[in-house]
Amino acid sequence: MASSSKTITVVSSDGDEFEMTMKAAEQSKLITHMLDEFGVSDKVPLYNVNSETMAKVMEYCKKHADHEAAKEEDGGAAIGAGGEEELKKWDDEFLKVENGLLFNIILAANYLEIKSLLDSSCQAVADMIKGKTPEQIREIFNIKNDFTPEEEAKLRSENEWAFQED
Amino acid sequence: MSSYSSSHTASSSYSSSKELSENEEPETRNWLDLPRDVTASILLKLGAVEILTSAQHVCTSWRSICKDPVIWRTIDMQNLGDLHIMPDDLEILCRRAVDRSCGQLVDINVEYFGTDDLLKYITDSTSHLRRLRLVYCDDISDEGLCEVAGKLPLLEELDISIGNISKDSLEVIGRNCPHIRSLKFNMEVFRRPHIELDDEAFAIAKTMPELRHLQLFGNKLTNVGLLAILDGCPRLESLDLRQCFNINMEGALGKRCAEQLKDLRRPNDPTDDYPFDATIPDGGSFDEDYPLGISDTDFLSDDDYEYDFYAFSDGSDISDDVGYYFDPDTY
Repeated sequence: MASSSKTITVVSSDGDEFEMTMKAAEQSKLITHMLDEFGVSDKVPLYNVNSETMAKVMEYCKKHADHEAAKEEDGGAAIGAGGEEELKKWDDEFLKVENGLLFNIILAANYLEIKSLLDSSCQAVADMIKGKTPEQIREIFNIKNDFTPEEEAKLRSENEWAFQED
Repeated sequence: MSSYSSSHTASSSYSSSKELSENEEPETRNWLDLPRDVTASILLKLGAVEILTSAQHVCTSWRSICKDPVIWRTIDMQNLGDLHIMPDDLEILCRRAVDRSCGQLVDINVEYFGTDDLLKYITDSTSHLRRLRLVYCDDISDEGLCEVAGKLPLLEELDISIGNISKDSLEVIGRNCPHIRSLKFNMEVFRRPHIELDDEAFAIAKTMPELRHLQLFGNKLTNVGLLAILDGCPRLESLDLRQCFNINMEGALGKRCAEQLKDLRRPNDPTDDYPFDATIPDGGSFDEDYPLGISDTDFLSDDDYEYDFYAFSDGSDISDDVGYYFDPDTY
């Protein structure tokens, strides 16, 4: 692969351009595949990702690329066990955004095939849902209850002892 | 540039909502527009109980995902203390989860409420089980585990920590599960480390040649047992011998461990990343003589109290199988 000092340019759906190092680009399987197939000279259009989301994704890829590079240096001594925890804390803070942006980050991570970002952002959503009743979950995500009354009654009777009324 | 857009396989559901997204406020994103497999990933992280009691009640789309066998390939039922559900009901939920897997169950994690009957139900449902974790399950017996061992031909990872399982089960598992690569057989340490017991080590050494990872926290094995393991499990990469106080790592054996293994935890290594209670009475130092009048109950934490009394219901037997030592004189 090309040296990490080389950069590529990706273009968001809003037409803004973002530069990223090769190592950061490698965080995304999709971008890597595109570069393998079509070369690094052209700008890579990512029409499914808007600029606000793209900026966040760039930040994530850079952070994780830097972390990987630091691990490779002197056999990981620079990082140690504390380093992994620190990265996780950074990820948690990074994902403290309003729901609309989180939604976009999840979609972008899925599309760009950035497995670790998809996993962390899905976990962030799961953490929002944990311990909540169905009605509370619907409120958080603006989901309509589309069960018929008969269906709902049937579901409740299945779990009478554990189903929490709100 | 059109060559780029045709090379990707993004979900079309995102593209169709994209046209709307540029004009919409972020707050009105429709979470049901997430690709089905992404929603499934989110719901999986809730664990089986919350999927069954909450998530599947949210809307018809989520209910449909919650009935898909794909998300039931992994069933996670741990850390359920907060949910205040009785063990019998947890077993019902677990059976329901197993039913939903439609024979595709690969990975199941049960803490506290596992029984022999439930284990049989699980292993009857699938021949693909690769990972089985039955922790704090004192209602699972050697007989129960031995009976189902033949139905676990693809088993790779087994964690039967803090239970009533003995070397007998280890041997039967080893013989029936040729692919077993990871074994966790951790115990709570009681105050009789001077009792030496290599039976479990020998069982493992004899029957699990493919082991890569072994965790034997609190085991009573000696250097003899350890040597047997190193010989019998030539592919071993990681070995956790914390609180195995009969082991002496000075000298040739310690050296061999360091050379043969990538990841070694020694008897006195720190236990902060150990998932169970690692509290030892007297802060870790032992001698042969214990002051009279100190009963085993003094060393039980609040969490352990009920569990250990159950385990000791016929406490007058000192049984090698159980691995716990209960002295009726000091109780």
